[in-house]
Amino acid sequence: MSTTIRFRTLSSLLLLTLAGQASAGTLRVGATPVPAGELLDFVKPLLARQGVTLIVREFSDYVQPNVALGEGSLDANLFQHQPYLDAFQQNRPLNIVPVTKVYLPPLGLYSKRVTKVTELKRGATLAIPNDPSNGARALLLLERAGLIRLKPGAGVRANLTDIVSNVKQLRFRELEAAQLPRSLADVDAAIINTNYALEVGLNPTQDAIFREGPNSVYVNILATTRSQRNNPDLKKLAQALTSPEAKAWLLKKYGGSIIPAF
Amino acid sequence: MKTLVLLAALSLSTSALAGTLRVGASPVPHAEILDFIKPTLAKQGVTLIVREFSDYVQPNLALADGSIDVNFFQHLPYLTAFQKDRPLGLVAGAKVHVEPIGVYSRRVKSLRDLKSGATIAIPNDPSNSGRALKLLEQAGLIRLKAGVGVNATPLDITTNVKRLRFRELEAAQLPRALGDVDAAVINTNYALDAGLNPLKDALLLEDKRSPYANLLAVKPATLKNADYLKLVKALQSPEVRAFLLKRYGGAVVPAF
Repeated sequence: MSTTIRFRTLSSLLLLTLAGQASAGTLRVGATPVPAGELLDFVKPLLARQGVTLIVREFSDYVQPNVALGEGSLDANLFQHQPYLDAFQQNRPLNIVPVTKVYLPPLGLYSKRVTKVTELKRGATLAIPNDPSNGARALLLLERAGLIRLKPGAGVRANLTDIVSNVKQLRFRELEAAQLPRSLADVDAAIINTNYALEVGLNPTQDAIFREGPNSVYVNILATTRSQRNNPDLKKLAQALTSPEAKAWLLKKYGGSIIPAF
Repeated sequence: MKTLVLLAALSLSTSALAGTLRVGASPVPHAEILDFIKPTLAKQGVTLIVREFSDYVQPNLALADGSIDVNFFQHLPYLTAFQKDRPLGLVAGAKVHVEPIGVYSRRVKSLRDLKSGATIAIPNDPSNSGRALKLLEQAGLIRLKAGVGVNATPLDITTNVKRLRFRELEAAQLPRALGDVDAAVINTNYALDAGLNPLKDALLLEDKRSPYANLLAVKPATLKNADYLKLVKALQSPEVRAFLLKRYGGAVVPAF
Protein backbone atom coordinates (compact mmCIF):
# COMPACT_ATOMS: atom_id res chain seq x y z
CA MET A 1 0.00 0.00 0.00
CA SER A 2 2.53 2.55 1.10
CA THR A 3 4.70 1.55 -1.84
CA THR A 4 1.88 2.30 -4.25
CA ILE A 5 1.30 5.74 -2.82
CA ARG A 6 4.95 6.49 -3.01
CA PHE A 7 4.95 5.30 -6.60
CA ARG A 8 1.97 7.52 -7.46
CA THR A 9 3.62 10.56 -5.93
CA LEU A 10 6.73 9.79 -7.87
CA SER A 11 4.92 9.41 -11.15
CA SER A 12 2.99 12.63 -10.69
CA LEU A 13 6.27 14.37 -9.92
CA LEU A 14 7.67 12.85 -13.07
CA LEU A 15 4.71 14.12 -15.09
CA LEU A 16 5.16 17.60 -13.71
CA THR A 17 8.79 17.69 -14.68
CA LEU A 18 7.98 16.36 -18.11
CA ALA A 19 5.35 19.02 -18.69
CA GLY A 20 7.80 21.69 -17.54
CA GLN A 21 10.43 20.44 -19.91
CA ALA A 22 8.06 20.22 -22.85
CA SER A 23 7.34 23.94 -22.83
CA ALA A 24 10.86 24.76 -21.66
CA GLY A 25 12.47 23.07 -24.65
CA THR A 26 10.22 24.63 -27.28
CA LEU A 27 10.18 28.08 -28.81
CA ARG A 28 7.41 29.32 -31.10
CA VAL A 29 8.74 32.09 -33.31
CA GLY A 30 6.74 34.16 -35.78
CA ALA A 31 8.50 35.38 -38.90
CA THR A 32 8.05 36.69 -42.42
CA PRO A 33 9.24 34.04 -44.90
CA VAL A 34 12.36 35.75 -46.32
CA PRO A 35 14.90 36.13 -44.90
CA ALA A 36 13.64 35.67 -41.31
CA GLY A 37 11.88 32.33 -41.86
CA GLU A 38 14.79 30.94 -43.84
CA LEU A 39 17.30 32.05 -41.23
CA LEU A 40 15.25 30.46 -38.45
CA ASP A 41 15.12 27.22 -40.44
CA PHE A 42 18.89 27.39 -40.72
CA VAL A 43 19.43 27.67 -36.96
CA LYS A 44 16.85 24.98 -36.13
CA PRO A 45 19.39 22.10 -36.09
CA LEU A 46 21.86 24.19 -34.05
CA LEU A 47 19.18 24.68 -31.41
CA ALA A 48 17.98 21.07 -31.56
CA ARG A 49 21.49 20.02 -30.51
CA GLN A 50 21.05 22.24 -27.44
CA GLY A 51 17.70 20.65 -26.62
CA VAL A 52 15.52 23.45 -27.99
CA THR A 53 12.81 22.68 -30.56
CA LEU A 54 12.13 25.65 -32.79
CA ILE A 55 8.63 25.99 -34.23
CA VAL A 56 8.60 28.62 -36.98
CA ARG A 57 5.26 30.16 -37.84
CA GLU A 58 5.25 32.21 -41.02
CA PHE A 59 3.22 35.40 -41.39
CA SER A 60 2.44 37.41 -44.47
CA ASP A 61 1.67 40.66 -42.68
CA TYR A 62 3.32 42.96 -40.12
CA VAL A 63 0.56 43.16 -37.53
CA GLN A 64 -0.33 39.57 -36.61
CA PRO A 65 3.20 38.55 -35.53
CA ASN A 66 3.09 41.22 -32.82
CA VAL A 67 -0.50 40.50 -31.83
CA ALA A 68 0.24 36.77 -31.56
CA LEU A 69 3.34 37.51 -29.47
CA GLY A 70 1.38 39.84 -27.22
CA GLU A 71 -1.36 37.29 -26.55
CA GLY A 72 1.13 34.49 -25.85
CA SER A 73 0.64 32.24 -28.86
CA LEU A 74 4.24 33.03 -29.86
CA ASP A 75 7.38 33.27 -27.71
CA ALA A 76 9.27 35.57 -30.06
CA ASN A 77 9.15 37.10 -33.50
CA LEU A 78 11.63 38.18 -36.14
CA PHE A 79 10.40 40.46 -38.93
CA GLN A 80 10.55 44.11 -37.81
CA HIS A 81 12.91 46.94 -36.98
CA GLN A 82 12.89 48.97 -33.78
CA PRO A 83 11.26 52.12 -35.25
CA TYR A 84 8.39 49.95 -36.53
CA LEU A 85 8.03 48.24 -33.15
CA ASP A 86 8.03 51.62 -31.38
CA ALA A 87 5.37 53.03 -33.70
CA PHE A 88 3.29 49.85 -33.38
CA GLN A 89 3.35 49.92 -29.60
CA GLN A 90 2.37 53.54 -29.48
CA ASN A 91 -1.00 52.37 -30.76
CA ARG A 92 -1.01 48.97 -29.12
CA PRO A 93 1.28 48.61 -26.10
CA LEU A 94 1.95 44.87 -25.84
CA ASN A 95 5.09 44.84 -23.69
CA ILE A 96 7.19 43.67 -26.61
CA VAL A 97 10.92 44.26 -26.18
CA PRO A 98 13.96 43.75 -28.42
CA VAL A 99 16.31 40.84 -27.68
CA THR A 100 19.04 41.24 -30.26
CA LYS A 101 19.79 42.84 -33.62
CA VAL A 102 19.92 40.28 -36.41
CA TYR A 103 20.03 41.48 -40.02
CA LEU A 104 19.47 44.44 -42.27
CA PRO A 105 18.00 44.59 -45.77
CA PRO A 106 19.78 47.87 -46.45
CA LEU A 107 18.09 50.85 -47.98
CA GLY A 108 20.37 52.07 -50.76
CA LEU A 109 20.98 54.99 -53.08
CA TYR A 110 21.14 53.84 -56.69
CA SER A 111 21.96 55.70 -59.86
CA LYS A 112 22.33 55.09 -63.56
CA ARG A 113 24.09 58.43 -64.03
CA VAL A 114 26.82 58.57 -61.39
CA THR A 115 28.99 55.92 -59.78
CA LYS A 116 29.77 57.79 -56.56
CA VAL A 117 27.84 60.04 -54.21
CA THR A 118 30.52 62.68 -54.65
CA GLU A 119 29.79 62.81 -58.39
CA LEU A 120 26.26 64.09 -57.81
CA LYS A 121 26.05 67.60 -59.21
CA ARG A 122 24.57 70.64 -57.52
CA GLY A 123 20.82 70.71 -58.14
CA ALA A 124 20.63 66.98 -58.94
CA THR A 125 17.22 65.32 -58.57
CA LEU A 126 16.78 62.44 -56.14
CA ALA A 127 13.70 60.23 -55.92
CA ILE A 128 12.74 59.06 -52.43
CA PRO A 129 9.85 56.96 -51.05
CA ASN A 130 6.68 58.95 -50.36
CA ASP A 131 5.44 57.05 -47.30
CA PRO A 132 6.40 58.65 -43.96
CA SER A 133 8.34 55.68 -42.60
CA ASN A 134 10.51 54.96 -45.65
CA GLY A 135 10.73 58.65 -46.42
CA ALA A 136 12.32 59.36 -43.03
CA ARG A 137 14.60 56.40 -43.46
CA ALA A 138 15.72 57.73 -46.85
CA LEU A 139 16.48 61.18 -45.42
CA LEU A 140 18.50 59.65 -42.57
CA LEU A 141 20.55 57.76 -45.15
CA LEU A 142 21.20 60.93 -47.15
CA GLU A 143 22.29 62.60 -43.93
CA ARG A 144 24.83 59.83 -43.36
CA ALA A 145 26.19 60.56 -46.83
CA GLY A 146 26.59 64.17 -45.73
CA LEU A 147 24.30 65.34 -48.53
CA ILE A 148 21.81 66.89 -46.14
CA ARG A 149 21.46 67.75 -42.44
CA LEU A 150 18.20 67.18 -40.65
CA LYS A 151 16.80 69.19 -37.80
CA PRO A 152 18.24 67.62 -34.65
CA GLY A 153 15.75 65.24 -33.11
CA ALA A 154 13.80 64.72 -36.35
CA GLY A 155 14.91 61.07 -36.33
CA VAL A 156 12.59 58.39 -37.71
CA ARG A 157 9.85 60.98 -38.24
CA ALA A 158 11.95 63.23 -40.45
CA ASN A 159 10.35 64.71 -43.55
CA LEU A 160 11.50 67.07 -46.29
CA THR A 161 10.77 70.18 -44.22
CA ASP A 162 13.29 68.99 -41.60
CA ILE A 163 16.22 69.42 -44.01
CA VAL A 164 18.16 72.34 -42.53
CA SER A 165 21.16 72.02 -44.79
CA ASN A 166 21.28 70.68 -48.34
CA VAL A 167 24.90 70.79 -49.38
CA LYS A 168 24.29 70.17 -53.09
CA GLN A 169 20.88 71.81 -53.20
CA LEU A 170 19.40 68.53 -54.29
CA ARG A 171 15.81 68.43 -55.51
CA PHE A 172 13.55 65.68 -54.28
CA ARG A 173 10.79 63.76 -55.98
CA GLU A 174 8.59 61.67 -53.71
CA LEU A 175 7.31 58.44 -55.25
CA GLU A 176 5.63 55.21 -54.23
CA ALA A 177 8.43 52.95 -52.86
CA ALA A 178 7.67 50.22 -55.40
CA GLN A 179 7.97 52.70 -58.30
CA LEU A 180 11.43 53.89 -57.40
CA PRO A 181 13.46 51.40 -59.47
CA ARG A 182 11.56 52.53 -62.55
CA SER A 183 12.31 56.19 -61.79
CA LEU A 184 16.06 55.59 -62.21
CA ALA A 185 15.92 56.58 -65.86
CA ASP A 186 14.43 59.99 -65.04
CA VAL A 187 16.34 61.10 -61.96
CA ASP A 188 19.99 61.39 -61.00
CA ALA A 189 19.62 58.89 -58.16
CA ALA A 190 16.89 57.10 -56.24
CA ILE A 191 16.60 55.57 -52.79
CA ILE A 192 15.31 52.03 -53.04
CA ASN A 193 14.37 49.34 -50.52
CA THR A 194 16.27 46.08 -50.88
CA ASN A 195 13.23 44.02 -51.88
CA TYR A 196 12.34 46.38 -54.74
CA ALA A 197 15.98 46.62 -55.80
CA LEU A 198 16.26 42.82 -55.98
CA GLU A 199 13.10 42.62 -58.09
CA VAL A 200 14.77 44.61 -60.87
CA GLY A 201 18.08 42.82 -60.54
CA LEU A 202 19.95 45.42 -58.48
CA ASN A 203 22.22 44.17 -55.71
CA PRO A 204 22.68 46.51 -52.74
CA THR A 205 26.30 45.51 -52.17
CA GLN A 206 27.41 45.88 -55.77
CA ASP A 207 25.08 48.44 -57.28
CA ALA A 208 24.20 50.92 -54.54
CA ILE A 209 26.38 54.02 -54.58
CA PHE A 210 25.61 54.43 -50.87
CA ARG A 211 23.72 52.20 -48.47
CA GLU A 212 22.86 51.60 -44.83
CA GLY A 213 25.37 49.77 -42.67
CA PRO A 214 24.97 47.46 -39.68
CA ASN A 215 24.69 50.44 -37.31
CA SER A 216 21.42 51.51 -38.88
CA VAL A 217 18.44 51.90 -36.53
CA TYR A 218 16.46 49.96 -39.14
CA VAL A 219 18.15 46.65 -38.34
CA ASN A 220 15.65 43.82 -37.92
CA ILE A 221 15.41 42.52 -34.39
CA LEU A 222 14.43 39.38 -32.56
CA ALA A 223 11.64 40.51 -30.22
CA THR A 224 9.87 38.93 -27.26
CA THR A 225 7.62 39.98 -24.41
CA ARG A 226 8.94 41.54 -21.23
CA SER A 227 8.00 38.45 -19.21
CA GLN A 228 9.96 36.11 -21.51
CA ARG A 229 13.08 38.24 -21.62
CA ASN A 230 15.10 35.95 -19.36
CA ASN A 231 13.91 32.69 -20.88
CA PRO A 232 17.13 30.65 -21.28
CA ASP A 233 15.89 29.05 -24.49
CA LEU A 234 15.39 32.46 -26.00
CA LYS A 235 18.97 33.32 -25.09
CA LYS A 236 20.08 30.22 -26.95
CA LEU A 237 18.06 31.33 -29.98
CA ALA A 238 19.57 34.81 -29.83
CA GLN A 239 23.04 33.28 -29.64
CA ALA A 240 22.38 30.98 -32.60
CA LEU A 241 20.96 33.82 -34.71
CA THR A 242 24.05 35.92 -34.07
CA SER A 243 26.59 33.08 -34.39
CA PRO A 244 29.46 33.04 -36.88
CA GLU A 245 27.60 30.21 -38.64
CA ALA A 246 24.51 32.39 -39.10
CA LYS A 247 26.65 35.26 -40.35
CA ALA A 248 28.39 33.09 -42.94
CA TRP A 249 25.07 31.58 -44.01
CA LEU A 250 23.40 35.01 -44.44
CA LEU A 251 26.25 36.35 -46.53
CA LYS A 252 26.39 33.28 -48.74
CA LYS A 253 22.67 32.76 -49.14
CA TYR A 254 21.78 36.36 -49.99
CA GLY A 255 24.98 37.43 -51.74
CA GLY A 256 25.32 40.59 -49.66
CA SER A 257 21.77 41.83 -50.16
CA ILE A 258 21.10 41.11 -46.49
CA ILE A 259 23.70 42.47 -44.07
CA PRO A 260 24.32 40.65 -40.76
CA ALA A 261 24.00 43.20 -37.96
CA PHE A 262 26.07 41.44 -35.34
CA MET B 1 76.02 46.05 -35.18
CA LYS B 2 72.87 44.91 -33.40
CA THR B 3 72.09 48.45 -32.37
CA LEU B 4 72.53 49.62 -35.94
CA VAL B 5 70.13 47.00 -37.31
CA LEU B 6 67.64 47.87 -34.62
CA LEU B 7 67.89 51.56 -35.42
CA ALA B 8 67.52 50.83 -39.12
CA ALA B 9 64.44 48.74 -38.43
CA LEU B 10 62.97 51.48 -36.27
CA SER B 11 63.48 54.20 -38.81
CA LEU B 12 62.12 51.96 -41.55
CA SER B 13 58.91 51.36 -39.65
CA THR B 14 58.40 55.09 -39.08
CA SER B 15 59.17 56.00 -42.65
CA ALA B 16 56.73 53.34 -43.84
CA LEU B 17 54.01 55.12 -41.93
CA ALA B 18 55.23 58.61 -42.64
CA GLY B 19 54.12 59.83 -46.03
CA THR B 20 50.67 58.25 -45.81
CA LEU B 21 47.54 59.46 -44.05
CA ARG B 22 44.41 57.35 -43.88
CA VAL B 23 41.41 59.59 -43.39
CA GLY B 24 37.87 58.34 -42.68
CA ALA B 25 35.20 60.70 -43.99
CA SER B 26 31.56 61.18 -44.93
CA PRO B 27 31.29 61.39 -48.72
CA VAL B 28 29.83 64.90 -48.88
CA PRO B 29 31.34 67.41 -48.53
CA HIS B 30 34.18 65.88 -46.52
CA ALA B 31 35.55 63.35 -49.01
CA GLU B 32 35.06 65.88 -51.81
CA ILE B 33 37.25 68.39 -49.98
CA LEU B 34 39.87 65.72 -49.26
CA ASP B 35 39.89 64.67 -52.92
CA PHE B 36 40.43 68.29 -53.85
CA ILE B 37 43.61 68.60 -51.76
CA LYS B 38 45.01 65.17 -52.63
CA PRO B 39 47.28 66.50 -55.44
CA THR B 40 48.57 69.31 -53.21
CA LEU B 41 49.56 66.84 -50.53
CA ALA B 42 51.04 64.42 -53.05
CA LYS B 43 53.41 67.20 -54.16
CA GLN B 44 54.52 67.46 -50.51
CA GLY B 45 55.15 63.72 -50.33
CA VAL B 46 51.97 62.80 -48.45
CA THR B 47 49.65 60.17 -49.90
CA LEU B 48 46.10 60.69 -48.75
CA ILE B 49 43.94 57.58 -48.53
CA VAL B 50 40.29 58.53 -48.13
CA ARG B 51 37.97 55.92 -46.67
CA GLU B 52 34.29 56.76 -46.92
CA PHE B 53 31.96 55.74 -44.09
CA SER B 54 28.20 55.31 -44.12
CA ASP B 55 27.58 55.94 -40.43
CA TYR B 56 28.72 58.11 -37.52
CA VAL B 57 30.02 55.37 -35.22
CA GLN B 58 32.56 53.40 -37.23
CA PRO B 59 34.81 56.37 -38.12
CA ASN B 60 35.46 56.98 -34.41
CA LEU B 61 35.99 53.30 -33.65
CA ALA B 62 38.32 52.97 -36.64
CA LEU B 63 40.30 55.98 -35.43
CA ALA B 64 40.58 54.53 -31.93
CA ASP B 65 41.73 51.11 -33.16
CA GLY B 66 44.33 52.64 -35.47
CA SER B 67 42.89 51.52 -38.80
CA ILE B 68 42.66 55.17 -39.83
CA ASP B 69 44.83 58.12 -38.73
CA VAL B 70 42.30 60.94 -38.90
CA ASN B 71 38.57 61.21 -39.30
CA PHE B 72 36.59 64.08 -40.77
CA PHE B 73 32.82 63.91 -40.45
CA GLN B 74 31.76 65.39 -37.09
CA HIS B 75 31.53 68.55 -35.02
CA LEU B 76 32.62 69.05 -31.45
CA PRO B 77 29.20 68.58 -29.76
CA TYR B 78 28.91 65.19 -31.46
CA LEU B 79 32.45 64.10 -30.57
CA THR B 80 31.89 65.16 -26.96
CA ALA B 81 28.56 63.35 -26.66
CA PHE B 82 30.01 60.26 -28.35
CA GLN B 83 32.92 60.05 -25.92
CA LYS B 84 30.65 60.46 -22.94
CA ASP B 85 29.22 57.07 -23.92
CA ARG B 86 32.45 55.58 -25.24
CA PRO B 87 35.59 57.30 -24.01
CA LEU B 88 38.16 56.54 -26.72
CA GLY B 89 40.69 59.28 -26.02
CA LEU B 90 40.01 61.06 -29.31
CA VAL B 91 40.59 64.80 -29.55
CA ALA B 92 39.41 67.60 -31.80
CA GLY B 93 41.89 68.81 -34.38
CA ALA B 94 41.59 71.51 -37.01
CA LYS B 95 38.23 72.96 -38.06
CA VAL B 96 37.44 72.95 -41.75
CA HIS B 97 33.90 73.96 -42.68
CA VAL B 98 30.41 74.61 -41.43
CA GLU B 99 26.95 74.35 -43.00
CA PRO B 100 26.06 77.75 -41.66
CA ILE B 101 23.05 79.23 -39.99
CA GLY B 102 22.80 82.95 -40.82
CA VAL B 103 21.08 86.19 -39.85
CA TYR B 104 18.85 87.66 -42.57
CA SER B 105 16.72 90.75 -42.74
CA ARG B 106 14.50 92.63 -45.15
CA ARG B 107 14.52 95.76 -43.01
CA VAL B 108 18.15 96.46 -42.16
CA LYS B 109 21.35 96.19 -44.18
CA SER B 110 23.62 95.61 -41.23
CA LEU B 111 23.27 94.30 -37.69
CA ARG B 112 24.37 97.70 -36.41
CA ASP B 113 21.21 99.18 -37.88
CA LEU B 114 18.96 97.07 -35.67
CA LYS B 115 16.99 99.43 -33.47
CA SER B 116 16.48 99.07 -29.77
CA GLY B 117 13.54 96.74 -29.16
CA ALA B 118 13.87 95.07 -32.57
CA THR B 119 12.28 91.66 -32.96
CA ILE B 120 14.42 88.71 -34.02
CA ALA B 121 12.92 85.38 -35.05
CA ILE B 122 14.90 82.30 -34.10
CA PRO B 123 14.27 78.55 -34.48
CA ASN B 124 12.20 76.99 -31.69
CA ASP B 125 13.96 73.62 -31.41
CA PRO B 126 16.59 73.45 -28.64
CA SER B 127 19.60 72.78 -30.79
CA ASN B 128 18.97 75.36 -33.54
CA SER B 129 17.81 77.90 -30.99
CA GLY B 130 21.07 77.50 -29.07
CA ARG B 131 22.98 77.80 -32.30
CA ALA B 132 21.14 80.97 -33.28
CA LEU B 133 21.73 82.59 -29.90
CA LYS B 134 25.45 81.73 -30.00
CA LEU B 135 25.67 83.49 -33.36
CA LEU B 136 23.95 86.58 -31.98
CA GLU B 137 26.35 86.47 -29.05
CA GLN B 138 29.30 86.44 -31.44
CA ALA B 139 27.85 89.51 -33.10
CA GLY B 140 27.90 91.20 -29.70
CA LEU B 141 24.12 91.64 -29.65
CA ILE B 142 23.54 89.55 -26.55
CA ARG B 143 25.51 87.73 -23.92
CA LEU B 144 24.64 84.24 -22.71
CA LYS B 145 25.07 82.79 -19.23
CA ALA B 146 28.65 81.55 -18.89
CA GLY B 147 29.04 77.84 -19.52
CA VAL B 148 25.65 77.42 -21.12
CA GLY B 149 26.03 74.67 -23.66
CA VAL B 150 24.96 74.37 -27.27
CA ASN B 151 21.28 74.20 -26.28
CA ALA B 152 20.93 77.74 -24.92
CA THR B 153 17.46 79.28 -24.88
CA PRO B 154 16.37 82.94 -24.64
CA LEU B 155 16.13 82.36 -20.86
CA ASP B 156 19.92 82.08 -20.77
CA ILE B 157 20.44 85.63 -22.07
CA THR B 158 22.17 87.70 -19.38
CA THR B 159 22.86 90.88 -21.36
CA ASN B 160 20.70 92.28 -24.12
CA VAL B 161 21.95 95.79 -24.91
CA LYS B 162 19.47 96.48 -27.69
CA ARG B 163 16.60 94.95 -25.71
CA LEU B 164 15.95 92.64 -28.62
CA ARG B 165 12.75 90.69 -28.51
CA PHE B 166 12.81 87.07 -29.63
CA ARG B 167 10.14 85.18 -31.44
CA GLU B 168 10.65 81.42 -31.52
CA LEU B 169 9.31 79.75 -34.65
CA GLU B 170 9.47 76.45 -36.44
CA ALA B 171 12.84 76.55 -38.26
CA ALA B 172 11.27 75.96 -41.67
CA GLN B 173 8.89 78.93 -41.22
CA LEU B 174 11.62 81.48 -40.58
CA PRO B 175 12.11 82.78 -44.15
CA ARG B 176 8.40 83.55 -44.27
CA ALA B 177 8.65 85.49 -41.00
CA LEU B 178 11.08 87.96 -42.60
CA GLY B 179 8.16 90.20 -43.56
CA ASP B 180 7.07 90.50 -39.92
CA VAL B 181 10.29 90.75 -37.95
CA ASP B 182 13.41 92.88 -38.08
CA ALA B 183 15.70 89.91 -38.60
CA ALA B 184 15.61 86.13 -38.51
CA VAL B 185 18.24 83.46 -37.91
CA ILE B 186 17.80 80.89 -40.67
CA ASN B 187 19.36 77.55 -41.57
CA THR B 188 20.98 77.56 -45.02
CA ASN B 189 18.59 75.21 -46.75
CA TYR B 190 15.52 77.22 -45.77
CA ALA B 191 17.28 80.39 -46.87
CA LEU B 192 18.21 78.88 -50.24
CA ASP B 193 14.69 77.54 -50.70
CA ALA B 194 13.34 81.03 -50.14
CA GLY B 195 15.67 82.43 -52.81
CA LEU B 196 18.13 83.96 -50.38
CA ASN B 197 21.82 83.66 -51.16
CA PRO B 198 23.71 83.04 -47.91
CA LEU B 199 26.91 84.50 -49.34
CA LYS B 200 25.27 87.75 -50.46
CA ASP B 201 22.14 88.20 -48.39
CA ALA B 202 23.14 87.11 -44.89
CA LEU B 203 24.05 89.93 -42.53
CA LEU B 204 26.09 87.40 -40.62
CA LEU B 205 27.02 83.77 -41.24
CA GLU B 206 28.54 81.26 -38.89
CA ASP B 207 32.30 80.86 -39.12
CA LYS B 208 35.01 79.06 -37.18
CA ARG B 209 33.40 80.10 -33.91
CA SER B 210 30.35 77.98 -34.63
CA PRO B 211 30.09 74.99 -32.30
CA TYR B 212 28.97 73.07 -35.38
CA ALA B 213 32.16 73.55 -37.35
CA ASN B 214 33.19 70.22 -38.89
CA LEU B 215 36.59 69.22 -37.66
CA LEU B 216 39.32 66.66 -37.94
CA ALA B 217 39.48 64.21 -35.04
CA VAL B 218 42.67 62.39 -34.10
CA LYS B 219 44.48 60.66 -31.28
CA PRO B 220 46.42 63.23 -29.23
CA ALA B 221 49.83 62.06 -30.53
CA THR B 222 48.80 62.81 -34.12
CA LEU B 223 48.41 66.52 -33.40
CA LYS B 224 52.19 66.93 -33.75
CA ASN B 225 52.64 64.53 -36.67
CA ALA B 226 54.31 66.27 -39.63
CA ASP B 227 51.97 64.73 -42.21
CA TYR B 228 48.92 65.70 -40.18
CA LEU B 229 50.19 69.26 -40.01
CA LYS B 230 50.54 69.29 -43.80
CA LEU B 231 46.97 68.03 -44.08
CA VAL B 232 45.72 70.83 -41.83
CA LYS B 233 47.65 73.44 -43.79
CA ALA B 234 46.24 72.16 -47.08
CA LEU B 235 42.67 72.05 -45.71
CA GLN B 236 42.85 75.54 -44.26
CA SER B 237 44.32 77.05 -47.43
CA PRO B 238 42.99 79.90 -49.59
CA GLU B 239 42.46 77.29 -52.34
CA VAL B 240 40.05 75.29 -50.18
CA ARG B 241 38.30 78.48 -49.13
CA ALA B 242 37.69 79.36 -52.78
CA PHE B 243 36.71 75.77 -53.60
CA LEU B 244 34.07 75.69 -50.83
CA LEU B 245 32.54 79.02 -51.74
CA LYS B 246 32.40 78.21 -55.43
CA ARG B 247 31.27 74.61 -55.22
CA TYR B 248 28.54 74.85 -52.59
CA GLY B 249 27.04 78.27 -53.21
CA GLY B 250 26.97 79.18 -49.53
CA ALA B 251 25.61 75.86 -48.27
CA VAL B 252 29.11 75.09 -46.96
CA VAL B 253 31.45 77.84 -45.79
CA PRO B 254 35.03 77.81 -44.44
CA ALA B 255 35.51 77.47 -40.68
CA PHE B 256 39.11 78.69 -40.59
